[in-house]
Amino acid sequence: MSAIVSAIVSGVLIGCFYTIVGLGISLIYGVMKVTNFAHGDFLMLGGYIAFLLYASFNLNPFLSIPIAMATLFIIGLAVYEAVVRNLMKTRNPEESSLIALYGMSISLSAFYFILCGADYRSIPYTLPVSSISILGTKFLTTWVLGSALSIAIALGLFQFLHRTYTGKAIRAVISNVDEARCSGIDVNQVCRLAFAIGLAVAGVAGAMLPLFQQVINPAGGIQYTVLAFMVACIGGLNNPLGVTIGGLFVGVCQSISNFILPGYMWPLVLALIAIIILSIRPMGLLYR
Amino acid sequence: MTLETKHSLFLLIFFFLIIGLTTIGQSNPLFFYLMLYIAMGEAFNLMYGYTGYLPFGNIGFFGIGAYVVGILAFLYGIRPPISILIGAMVSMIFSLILYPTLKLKGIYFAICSFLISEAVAIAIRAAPFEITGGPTGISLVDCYNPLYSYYLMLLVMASILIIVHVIDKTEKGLALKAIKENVLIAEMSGVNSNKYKLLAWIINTTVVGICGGLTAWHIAYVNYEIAVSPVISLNSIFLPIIGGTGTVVGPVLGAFFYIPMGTIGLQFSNFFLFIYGVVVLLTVTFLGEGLLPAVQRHIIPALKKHSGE
Repeated sequence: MSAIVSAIVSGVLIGCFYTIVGLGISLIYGVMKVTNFAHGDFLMLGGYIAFLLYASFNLNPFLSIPIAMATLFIIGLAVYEAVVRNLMKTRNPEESSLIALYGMSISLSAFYFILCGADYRSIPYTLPVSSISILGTKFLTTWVLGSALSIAIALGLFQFLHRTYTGKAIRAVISNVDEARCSGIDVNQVCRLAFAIGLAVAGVAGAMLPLFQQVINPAGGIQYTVLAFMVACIGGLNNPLGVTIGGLFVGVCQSISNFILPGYMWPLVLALIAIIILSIRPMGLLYR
Repeated sequence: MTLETKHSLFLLIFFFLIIGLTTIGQSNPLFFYLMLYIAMGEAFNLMYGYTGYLPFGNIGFFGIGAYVVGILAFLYGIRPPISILIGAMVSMIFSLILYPTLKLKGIYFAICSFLISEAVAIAIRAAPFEITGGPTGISLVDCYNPLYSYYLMLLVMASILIIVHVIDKTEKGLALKAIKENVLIAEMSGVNSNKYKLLAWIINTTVVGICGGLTAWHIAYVNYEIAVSPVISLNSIFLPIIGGTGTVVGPVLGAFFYIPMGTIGLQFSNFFLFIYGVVVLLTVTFLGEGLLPAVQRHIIPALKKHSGE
């Protein structure tokens, strides 16, 4: 019994992380109907920034989280101006952006191979206490800390979306572009900002990968893209609350699947669950 | 001087017929792969270019076709031309089971189809080794016959080219394009959208399944890396996109971009992948629907205007 409880708790802990992996994708899709298939590779870019800062300057990994966030934010602005803006003008932006950004994902992953080699990289997050006990099971402090950070980032994003003027503008564009434009919102500005925020969240998630004992490697991006889409599709692509539920759901499913089945089976289980959910509710559980 | 689609397709098939008789055609896998990518590109085109549904997970059906051929030869000794047909049937039945996913709109369908291919890939990996041969794969050396597989591939390629050409010319193509533009309006003008979507989906998956089986036969070996190869997946999506979807000749043109990759052997190099990705990104971003529609829309009118003056 306690084993199942501990599986569920660890699922919730990793689910918090999956939530912020999915949040960026759903924000970008919700605002500009652009499918960011390079999300996982931008996440890896965050990881590589943290790794390179640690490897060359021996920087404390916790300091590299905000640096990764800021860098990805700026990269997001640049990518929006160069690529995404033009993609939004094509005939069906959803599909063409999916293919174009898939191309970008291939390029980025090849670029990491060229730059850093195929090795698996990680960063040691050193903490004074190595484990924390939750409901009778000991968990690594890094996991708990990573989940807490994820929750803080998600809450911060929700506060930003609900309290500030810019956040309200972003939500207005999500619910209806034309009405938002009519009420005087600069839609282009909002899209640029939303894309940059989406990538910044991906960057933070990437720098936090080592907290969850995940490796930073050049080909690993696609797996996080798939994960992010599973999270976002189960919850509903344009609903941040749905993404939170989707993230926790995916985390718990993965952890229970690991508990019952062999370790490599969880993507299969999750893919089947996602396909069944999408067949029943074509827009996800909580689509608005 | 205008070259009609019908004639250019005829020339293409004739070209491969002649090449197959020469020693180059029999010894070099390049031409087989060229035909493979034309066939898979046309299947992709029928779904994406005409119907507007993005079949991102075609490689899953490719893997099913390849592994059916491998497993049938491994366990029951059934030889390829028959087992390829069985593979096509399995692929078709699988696509019928997945019929509910055709309800999904736009991006949800693409993601769902990608998840299907992921599920197939993991299922193949997780299946018992007594059936799939495990990491060592299944050898098909007993029934290796490059000439027969070459001509069967030619037959499949010619069939899908003719099917897409006929669909393009008749009102079916119009119905499919109407579904791509707006499902609601298409249905209101009397198009049974479910029927046409199902038609395109079944043709697509069956052809991809056959292609998988044929590839396994041609190289006489099936393993995990070949059956759900990311390279074939990439090429089957990117080549028709570069060439231009929504036209019959576009994917054929795109498939010829495979020649430089195949001959120089750069397929797996990271520098090449980097450039490949950038090319696709630029094509989609700035040319929209690919090379051929862009040429037809911008360059040919410009030339006509120039020669008219």
